[in-house]
Amino acid sequence: MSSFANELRAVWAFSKREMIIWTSYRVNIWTWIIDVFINTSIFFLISLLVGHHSMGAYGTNYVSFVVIGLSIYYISYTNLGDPFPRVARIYWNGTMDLYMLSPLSYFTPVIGVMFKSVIDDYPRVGLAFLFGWLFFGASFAFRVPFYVILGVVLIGLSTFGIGMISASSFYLLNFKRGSEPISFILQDVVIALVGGYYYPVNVLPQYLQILASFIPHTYALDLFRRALLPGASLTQPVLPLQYVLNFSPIAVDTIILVLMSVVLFPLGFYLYYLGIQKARREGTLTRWQ
Amino acid sequence: MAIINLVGVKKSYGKRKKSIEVLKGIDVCVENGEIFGLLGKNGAGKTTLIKVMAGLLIPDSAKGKVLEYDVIKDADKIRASVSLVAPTADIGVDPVLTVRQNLLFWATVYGIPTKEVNNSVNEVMEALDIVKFEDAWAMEISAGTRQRLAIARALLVKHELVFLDEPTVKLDMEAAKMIRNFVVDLRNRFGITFFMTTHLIEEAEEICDRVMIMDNGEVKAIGSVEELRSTFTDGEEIIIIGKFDASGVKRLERIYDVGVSKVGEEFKLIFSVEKVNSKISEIIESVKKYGEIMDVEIKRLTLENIFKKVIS
Repeated sequence: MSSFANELRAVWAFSKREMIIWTSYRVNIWTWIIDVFINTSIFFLISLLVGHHSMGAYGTNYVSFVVIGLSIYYISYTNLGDPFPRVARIYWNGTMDLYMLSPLSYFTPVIGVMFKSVIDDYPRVGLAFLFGWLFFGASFAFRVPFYVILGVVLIGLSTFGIGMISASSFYLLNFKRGSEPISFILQDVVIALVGGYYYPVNVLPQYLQILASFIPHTYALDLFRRALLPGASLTQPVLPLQYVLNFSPIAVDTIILVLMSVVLFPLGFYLYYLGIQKARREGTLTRWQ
Repeated sequence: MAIINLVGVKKSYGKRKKSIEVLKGIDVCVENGEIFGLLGKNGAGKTTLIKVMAGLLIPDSAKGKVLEYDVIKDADKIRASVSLVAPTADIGVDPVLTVRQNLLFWATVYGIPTKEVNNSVNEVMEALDIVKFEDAWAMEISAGTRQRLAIARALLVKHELVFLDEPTVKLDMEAAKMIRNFVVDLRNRFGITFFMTTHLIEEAEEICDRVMIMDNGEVKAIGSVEELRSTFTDGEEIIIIGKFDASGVKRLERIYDVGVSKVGEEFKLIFSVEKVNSKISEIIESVKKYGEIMDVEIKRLTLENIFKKVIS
C-alpha cells in the first residue's frame, strides 16, 4: 500500500477513535444540539429587532445573513483555533514521541486529532442552516454553487494554514503554558471585530475595513452571502478591494482566497515542520511523565 | 551482529552560556537479541540517550548506526523501525477506548495492512496475556495490565529493536516481575532486542545480558553482571559453619586466607577468595575432611554494590 494511502488510513483511524470517544459521552450530543439551537435563536431574536432592514448588497434577511456568519465562525473556530490546543494535547499527554515513532508524516497526527474538532464543529454548520430555515425564517438561494464549493475549500485551507502557523508556535516560539497570542489576536480580536460574522464589513470605519481586507473571512463571508442570500447583489462592490479591482466581486473574493490559501496553507505546514525540528534538537517533543 | 553501534554521542541542552552537557561522548554497542540494561541515577542522561538512539532527538554529534541506519542522516527511518515503551503506561493508551480498540488504532497508525490488523492485535494480546481484557476500557484495568498493553502496542509491528524506558517504574513487585518475565519470553520467542533503562538494580541483574552504568553523561561501566563483578570486586567470601577438628582448622588456616571464630562447639570459617565459583568446590571438599558442615553462605558482589562503587 502506498505511503499516501497509509496516511489516509491513519487519518481515518484517528477520526474513528475521536468519534468513539465523542459518542461515548452521550450527553455531549444533546448539549451540542442545544448549543447550536440557542446560538441560532439568539440571532433570530436580534433579527426581530432589526426587522427586514436592507443590508445593502446582502439583501434583507438578517437571520439568513447571520446563519452564514455563524457557519464561517464554526469553520474558522475549528480550523484556526484548534490546531494549537490539539498539538498541546499531544505534547502534554506524552504521545508525540509515539506518533513520531511511526511511518506517518509529521503532519498526519495533527490532521488526525483535528477530527475531534471537525466532528464537533462542522456539523454545526448544517444544524445552523437547518434551525435557521425550520424555525427562524431563514431562506437561501443557490445561485452560483461552483463558487460556494470552491469558497468552502478555500476558507478551509486558508484558515487551517493560519491554524498551523498558530500550532507551530507551540514548538517554534515555545508557547507551552496557556494560550498563544497568534490565534488569540487573530480569532478573538481582529476577526471577532472586523470579520463580519454578525454585521456587514462596510458598516465599519474605513481603517477597520482596510484591516478586514487582510483576513480570509472577509472574502469568504462576502462570497457566501452574495451566492446564498436571496436578493443579494452579484455585482455591487462592498469591500475596499472590490472597488479597486473593477470586476465581479465574487471573482475578487475567489482570487484573494486562492492567494491567501496558496500562501498560508504551505506556510503553516512549513513552520510546523520547523517547530518539530527545533523540538527534536532541544528534546522538547513531548513531556514524559 | 551489533544492532546499535554508536560512538561519541554528545548532547547538550540550553543556550551557550547556560548549556548543560547531558551526554559527554557516549560509546554504546548492543548485540542483536540482547536484553541490554542502562542504569543510572536521575539526570544521568538515560532518557536522552534512548531518544537519540530512537531518532527522536538530534544529537550535537554522534557517529554510527542503529539497525542499518545512520543515527543522524536516517533518523526518520530509525523512527519508523523501532518501538518505544514510555515510563508511564498511560502514554499512548486512551482510557475511554477498550484494550482492543487501543491496539486497533495503533495498528493502523503503524501502517499494518488492513487484512493483517486483526491477526496482529490478537497475536500481541495473546503474547502479553491480555486477551481476557480485550473489551475492558483501558481506564478500568490495573496499572500492570496497562503496562502490558503499552508493551503490546510497541510489539504490534514486530520491530527488531524495542526501547523500554523504566518499564516497571510504577508497578508493584508482582506486576513488575510479570513484565520482566514477558520481556525475557518475547526475546526468547521472537529474538527481539530490548534496550531498557531502569532504576531497579535487581531488575537489571535478573534479566539483562549486559548492563551499562551511566553517571553525569558518561559511561562508567559496561559488561555482563559477571564481567562487572570481576572488574570491580575486591574479593568474595565463603562462610562455612560447622563442627570441626581444631587441628584441621589450623591446617586450613595455613592453606587458605581464612578467618576463624568459635561459638560453643561450632566454628565459623570465613574464606576470602577472588572468585567464589572457582574455589568453592575445592574449599568444601577440604573442610569436609575435618568435620561436619552445618551451613554454607556465599557473599558475592551484587550489581547494587557495583553500581554504588561505580557511581561513587
